Amino acid sequence: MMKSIVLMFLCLVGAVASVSAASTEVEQRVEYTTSLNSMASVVMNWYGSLIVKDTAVSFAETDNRWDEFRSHYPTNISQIKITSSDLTKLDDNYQYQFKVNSLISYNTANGEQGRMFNETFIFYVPLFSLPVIKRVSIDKVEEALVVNGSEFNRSYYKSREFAYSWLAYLDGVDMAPSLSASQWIDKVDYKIKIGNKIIQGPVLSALEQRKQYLAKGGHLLRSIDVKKQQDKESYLLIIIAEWKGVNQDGKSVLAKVRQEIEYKILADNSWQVLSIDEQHLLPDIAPWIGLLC
Amino acid sequence: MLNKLITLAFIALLASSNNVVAEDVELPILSGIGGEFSAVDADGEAIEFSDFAGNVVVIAFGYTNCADICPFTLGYLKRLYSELTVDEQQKIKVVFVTIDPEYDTPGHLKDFIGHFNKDFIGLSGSQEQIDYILSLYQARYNKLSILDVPTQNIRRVNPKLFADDDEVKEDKASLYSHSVTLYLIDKEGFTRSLEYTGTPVGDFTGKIRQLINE
Repeated sequence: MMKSIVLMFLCLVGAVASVSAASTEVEQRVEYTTSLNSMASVVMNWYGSLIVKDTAVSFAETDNRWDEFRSHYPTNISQIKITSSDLTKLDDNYQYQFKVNSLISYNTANGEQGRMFNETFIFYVPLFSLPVIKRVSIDKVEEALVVNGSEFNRSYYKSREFAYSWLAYLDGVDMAPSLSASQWIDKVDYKIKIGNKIIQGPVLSALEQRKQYLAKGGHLLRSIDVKKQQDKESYLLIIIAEWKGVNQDGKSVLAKVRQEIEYKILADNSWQVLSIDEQHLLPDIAPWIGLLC
Repeated sequence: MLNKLITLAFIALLASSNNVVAEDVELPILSGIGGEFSAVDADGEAIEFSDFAGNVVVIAFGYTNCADICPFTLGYLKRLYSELTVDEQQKIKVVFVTIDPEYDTPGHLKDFIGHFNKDFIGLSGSQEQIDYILSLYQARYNKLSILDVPTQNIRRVNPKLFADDDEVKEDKASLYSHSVTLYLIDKEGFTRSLEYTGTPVGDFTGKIRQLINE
């Protein structure tokens, strides 16, 4: 009888350990994506607002305690290209180190010049809260080639600031201030197509219904594109993100989420979202996905 | 005696539990892939996808005039199926959905599928039904030429049967390119994995067994 009890105990321990591992994995995913997306949004704001102002794109002011630090960057910056980044969670809970390497192009009386910057941001990010920059350091600066083209401008960073904020919001972080959400969140029609299921309605109610399928997990941005709408004063922000987590029954789910976010730019340069259209696509789990023969 | 039985039962349970832990691969639900649909089976009867509930399902798309990938895919599925035990075979449905319902009538589809395995299920229907199924699985097809080609010129494993030679000579069909993905679907109808004929048969049968045993 003793043997049976021991064996039963082993079975139970095995089952509990397996469930616990899956649950921990989801918790880690949530923590990773929410902190990454919210910090990335702040970083996009940081770099976008360094680029010389134009009439079409504005950024929220960076905390003025960083004004002196930001004076170390060149003036008249035309482009910033982030060449690599690395996110590490520090031992101290809620603190993260975000290393960013970038190429900065700027205009001078002698023409356009380039510099390479290696920097480290230290963030304080309580779960589901807005991240706060605790420290920033410039680790290395070198002369570099000018960034080609004109892609990495203020618009580039504005769309990414919005996309990261939006994904963090979807995962539960209150990013409303950086999304200018009060202007549109109650009015927008959010349509979600998951196979033959259609969810449609205001953002909050659509997200509530979406939780049946994507209950707990996180979005990781995979690609982003912006298109001007023909014959309209609006734009389409097209985001593709990978979502991993569990549904309301606790079953593991993987989604390739494609969202078309139509927005217009208001007189004060803030974004007003007009509609959101979401579809779940074939996930990129193998190189032959989508192949026709 | 009772103690021995309980002990043996737990050993069996532990062994099966260990097997699952050792062999299981992650098979998340692939969100938005698949769903309920209606079609016509190879006997001309209307069916719903939910009729397969409780079975593991493998779905492939193709057409009977396909000269290359479809016969290869069905040959692969035949080999896959033969690797399963009789008990496992009773818990899986291998479904081939035609992308050319105009040519692939239920009867012809039945002959074609039966050439590979009589247990396999051929699904046809209206073009609207087929296009809906394809959209659910995000599978695609393209017509390769505007004009139809004489089927005599196509290398086929199982030509359509006609009453006389004139009909054979006049028979024409379209050629298509199409998705090659094999969809592995669990007993509740959720797509859990995407495979193709390059997947080692042992890996695929392992996933099928995992879903059968869920």
